Amino acid sequence: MIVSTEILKTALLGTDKYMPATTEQYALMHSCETGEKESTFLRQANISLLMDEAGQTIRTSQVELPACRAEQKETLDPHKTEQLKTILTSNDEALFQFMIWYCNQYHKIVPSFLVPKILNKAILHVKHAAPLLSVCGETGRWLCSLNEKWKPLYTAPDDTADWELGNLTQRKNHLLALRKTDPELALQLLEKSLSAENAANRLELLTVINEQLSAQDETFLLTLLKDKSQKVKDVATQLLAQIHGSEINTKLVQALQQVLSVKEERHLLIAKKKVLHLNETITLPDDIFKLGIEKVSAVKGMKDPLYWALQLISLLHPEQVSSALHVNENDLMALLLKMPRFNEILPFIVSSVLKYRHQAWAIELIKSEQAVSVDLLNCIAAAEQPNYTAYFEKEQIAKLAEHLMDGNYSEYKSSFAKKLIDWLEQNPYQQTPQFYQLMGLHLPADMLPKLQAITGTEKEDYQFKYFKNQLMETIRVIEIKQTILNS
Amino acid sequence: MSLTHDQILQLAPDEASKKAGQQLANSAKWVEKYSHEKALWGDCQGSGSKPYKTIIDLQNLAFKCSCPSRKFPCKHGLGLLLLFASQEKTFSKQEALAEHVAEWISKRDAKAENKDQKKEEKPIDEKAQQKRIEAREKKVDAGIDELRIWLKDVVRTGIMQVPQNPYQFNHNITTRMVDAQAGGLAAQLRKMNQINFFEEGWQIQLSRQLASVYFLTEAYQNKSHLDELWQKELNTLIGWPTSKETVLEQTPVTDHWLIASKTYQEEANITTEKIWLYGYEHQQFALLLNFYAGNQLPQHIYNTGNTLHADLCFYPGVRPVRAIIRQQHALQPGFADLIGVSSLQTVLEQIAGQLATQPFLADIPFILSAMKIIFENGSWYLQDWDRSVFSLSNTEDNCWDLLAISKGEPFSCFVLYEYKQLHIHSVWQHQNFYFIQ
Repeated sequence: MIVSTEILKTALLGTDKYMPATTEQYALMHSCETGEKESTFLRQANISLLMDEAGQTIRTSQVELPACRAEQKETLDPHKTEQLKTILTSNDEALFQFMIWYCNQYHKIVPSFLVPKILNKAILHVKHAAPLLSVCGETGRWLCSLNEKWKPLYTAPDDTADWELGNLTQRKNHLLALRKTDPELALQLLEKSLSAENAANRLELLTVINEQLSAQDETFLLTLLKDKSQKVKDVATQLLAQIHGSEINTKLVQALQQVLSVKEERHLLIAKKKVLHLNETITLPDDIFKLGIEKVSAVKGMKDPLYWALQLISLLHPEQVSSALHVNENDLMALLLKMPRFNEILPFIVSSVLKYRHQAWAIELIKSEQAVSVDLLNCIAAAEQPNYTAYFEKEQIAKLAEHLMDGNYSEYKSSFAKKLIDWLEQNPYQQTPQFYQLMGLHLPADMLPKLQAITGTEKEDYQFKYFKNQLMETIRVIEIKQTILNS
Repeated sequence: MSLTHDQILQLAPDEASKKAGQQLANSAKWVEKYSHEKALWGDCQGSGSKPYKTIIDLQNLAFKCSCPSRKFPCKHGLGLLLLFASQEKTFSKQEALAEHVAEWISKRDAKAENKDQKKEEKPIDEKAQQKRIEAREKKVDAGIDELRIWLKDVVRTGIMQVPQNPYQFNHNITTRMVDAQAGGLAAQLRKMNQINFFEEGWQIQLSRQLASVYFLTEAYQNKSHLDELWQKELNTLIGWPTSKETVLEQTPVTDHWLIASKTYQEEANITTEKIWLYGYEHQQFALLLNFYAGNQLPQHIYNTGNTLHADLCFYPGVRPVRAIIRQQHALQPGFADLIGVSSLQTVLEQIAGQLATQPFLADIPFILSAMKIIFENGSWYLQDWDRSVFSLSNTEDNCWDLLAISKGEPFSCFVLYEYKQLHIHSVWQHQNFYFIQ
């Protein structure tokens, strides 16, 4: 029989250039002769390749895959599996995350045929893969041990490799993790390698120092004041300003004392009252303005000394500011709140509170009912936060709603939910479609009649139509959530 | 008619319609929605001032909607059907059809009756029919002559350059075969475009297909020397149609058929539906082959893993596989476990036997049992109890799905053999059936 290599050679080169060797042909091949090269070849090729296919032999392999361990958790029921399949095919991220939360909450695993799809999702965000891996059970663990692509999900991350070979985000994450556990080692690593980085990377990696910032970092940060990049110098200065007792910190405290002081004034003849006194005639030394303090006020109508004082307050820790002004923190906040044109002062104080996560000042600011940031809630212990949410319901209800979207899909209080819907009806464009979808996962089911009533209303204006469409999506999410939770 | 979520989504004309349909499967989007044993209908509030009126004929699945969409079925039709599948209780059950629904349904019924009547009434003009056959024969013969010249030209210059232009090298001759009314040959030529020219081994596959087409033309030209069955087989392979009536004249095979696989392939606005069945009693395979043009809806709404109790008539040929349903008795959910071939050596022997009987076979179906899926050096294999292995042509993702489903344990499966490789279409294990998409 003409071996297939001969056929292949002829097919590739063409019968004009080559014909299969005919010396050892069988009778069958002779019968292919037609007197025309192409025809003879096509006949021979057909018979030869057909015989080759029919005569193929079986191969054996000793490969035996390791066994998959038995599952410890119960598998999701068929109805919920169908829901999950739909969610996966429609790429509905919010509902997918909810489904994963549900599985973990109720100690369920997904059926094995869905595991590869979930592992493919998990591998996109390895650092946040834990909840997804948990629902994949032993099958997931077993598949990860076999598939090179999924292996990193269950392999302990090679930190050194991350630092040496990873991208900027991976390197920053590595450094941040190290800074949390061993700040000195992280500092050494940064000292060694920072000079070799470009300005953008230096700036990015430097922000990691903010974690567990201490006096030990001062020497290194001082060297960065000679960096070529102005932005790097600025960040180093800001970090030095935060180190209690550092040269820069001391200079800033002294400058603050020069500009601002607390004085006692006689009140109603007998009583004494503390007031903030701004030294409007002072001129700060020039080197202060090289430490990130702007010389000329950027706020319209605000005098330069006040602007300096506020910048200094936003840079320094509230405790340090209070101690520099010889007043306790609560009294200082009370004095600040009484200052005229407080709205212009507020951003500087909020910046300080958020930077140092100062709970007492955060509470005072919230209580003052000024238009303050919802982020201040993050400075308050989780258990105490519910006591202060009501302050934001009037002015920042949507931001508060976002803040209350926690990982446990806890439901909004009905009264809050009603206020939120009413506000959204007036301001539907202020939130994204994703917000409306996520909102559905937090709204209580008793809101459905209200939502359905709105969607059943006929109005021609575009704003209402947009709102109605978004609410329909919210209703769909609520219905799916209820089906999952109640079935 | 009860359809699953997956089955309904299969009706969508594109991915965008699937997504939009899923979003409309939301009771808030529907002002009204009614169900009747014959139909579903509802009003969906769209962007226009008036809601869109959507109707679904449940008896012979069909959609009607007042929306301006040119897609068929539109997102409203899909949404309503999806909503019915998931939340049937939210529909108001009606004793009688609404006026506009009844009117549409009766029009459809009348149309179908007229069609049947026309078919019955039309007398056959045998003379004209003979003339048509002769004219077609001429066309086919001329087309085959041209094809043989083209094949010779290809092998004269060699196939080395083909990968540089894999979609165009046979375009003209394929079109010529369509014109010559040799659809079977055109399909075989199109199959050459499915070869992966970036993968080693394309040379053998292309050579084999070129040689096989040439061999087929030779057999066709010499068919007068062959028996009647072979003549019919060759006619079918070339593309001569066999009328439905002729097929229905064959002795039907009554059995409970496992719906083992259902695939769709779209080419040039024609969708080819292939449904593979396996008879429990007769242990015989059957292939239901349907072609849909444009937005035509599938004729059968069958779900893989279910059992069809029906009488099938097979197209006459050397190895009859293609069939049509003469009468459907029942469509039962679920399946009974099947014991298939458990030795890959036996599979190989059967392949050799079948190729010896019919060398033009494209796909050879098998039910296999006690198989495992393994991978070695980046390739995937089916492994039997004595560690014999057979290469798989499933995609990498498919194979990981199969491994996840089986967890490395033995399973049963329906496979199609195609040129030295097996393609797993469905697997079952522990009473669960999985169709591998």
